[in-house]
Amino acid sequence: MITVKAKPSRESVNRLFSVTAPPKRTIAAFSVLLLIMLTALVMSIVYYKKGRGDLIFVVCGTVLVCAAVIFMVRILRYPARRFRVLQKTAPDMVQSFAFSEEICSVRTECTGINAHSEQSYGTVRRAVYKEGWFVLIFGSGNGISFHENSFTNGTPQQLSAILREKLGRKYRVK
Amino acid sequence: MVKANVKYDIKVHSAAVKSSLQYRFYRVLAVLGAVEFILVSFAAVISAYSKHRLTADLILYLSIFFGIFIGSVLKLLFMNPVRSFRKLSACYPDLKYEVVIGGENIEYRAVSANSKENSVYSASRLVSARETMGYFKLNISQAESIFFSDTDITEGNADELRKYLSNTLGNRYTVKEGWI
Repeated sequence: MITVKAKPSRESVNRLFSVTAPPKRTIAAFSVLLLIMLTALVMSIVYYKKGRGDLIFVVCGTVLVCAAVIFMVRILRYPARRFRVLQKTAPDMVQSFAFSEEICSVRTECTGINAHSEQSYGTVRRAVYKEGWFVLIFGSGNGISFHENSFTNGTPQQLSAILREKLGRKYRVK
Repeated sequence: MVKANVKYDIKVHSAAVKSSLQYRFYRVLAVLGAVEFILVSFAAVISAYSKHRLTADLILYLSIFFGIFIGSVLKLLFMNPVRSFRKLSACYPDLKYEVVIGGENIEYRAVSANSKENSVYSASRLVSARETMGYFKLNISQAESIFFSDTDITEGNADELRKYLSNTLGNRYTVKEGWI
């Protein structure tokens, strides 16, 4: 049995969100949209200054660009915000993970929360081992992340071997 | 004490997805994108008639609003409850859970063919609660929430739960008529 005990950190939250692909796609789509919005705004200002455009389109462009920038900043700062809220609401949170041949279990403890779950490896949607960090994303959308220094029993190589055997192509070492 | 036994089927999942903030956000964005696209289209037609030309910024605004509308619709299709339920039930077949609410704690016990979970949350950890179209959503944290219908309640009743949530959360317990 491999056991891990970890306290959520800014890095662990960042690692968790770095694995989930949809935010990256959203950022890429909004970057393109923001570029088009900026072009439209610049054109509206030029037309307005030449007396060929309407003020409403300058206002419309400004509002659009501001809204897109706020949305982008919120997406980019989401992991940091999640960690800040976590620190504020559960500063004493400790998570213990146990990996056996058949199941992986997660125990979360802090003031007001005592949660324990056991899941078979069939519920793991994706797992990544990168730069000393393990990240596992479950089918529910929730995930766990921990550093290789957090092992209390077993070694990262042993866990890596179990994940490779149980998850196959869903597990990647980067 | 209020107890609910939930069999997580497509109906509950669909309600859970539709009540999520992300789904509601993209739905509003799709409607706004469509409305703005129609308004700018009118402006473009009027501009083309009165000035006998169509400026490049108008064409760009048209493409932006069309992009927002199409992007939001694609995102909503991607979040389609039927599709996401198929994925979820592949990971957690026959998911059932029991929620016990009352006194100091909220107990949550979930079982599926691939998993089991036992959680006890202090009532003070409840961030907010929302009642929509007969469904209760209790937000434990940013990432965790418990979702069930008033018809899933097996002990106690919905009025008892409403009273409990009002006393515990005050104005953080909201009742909405529609999904938005």
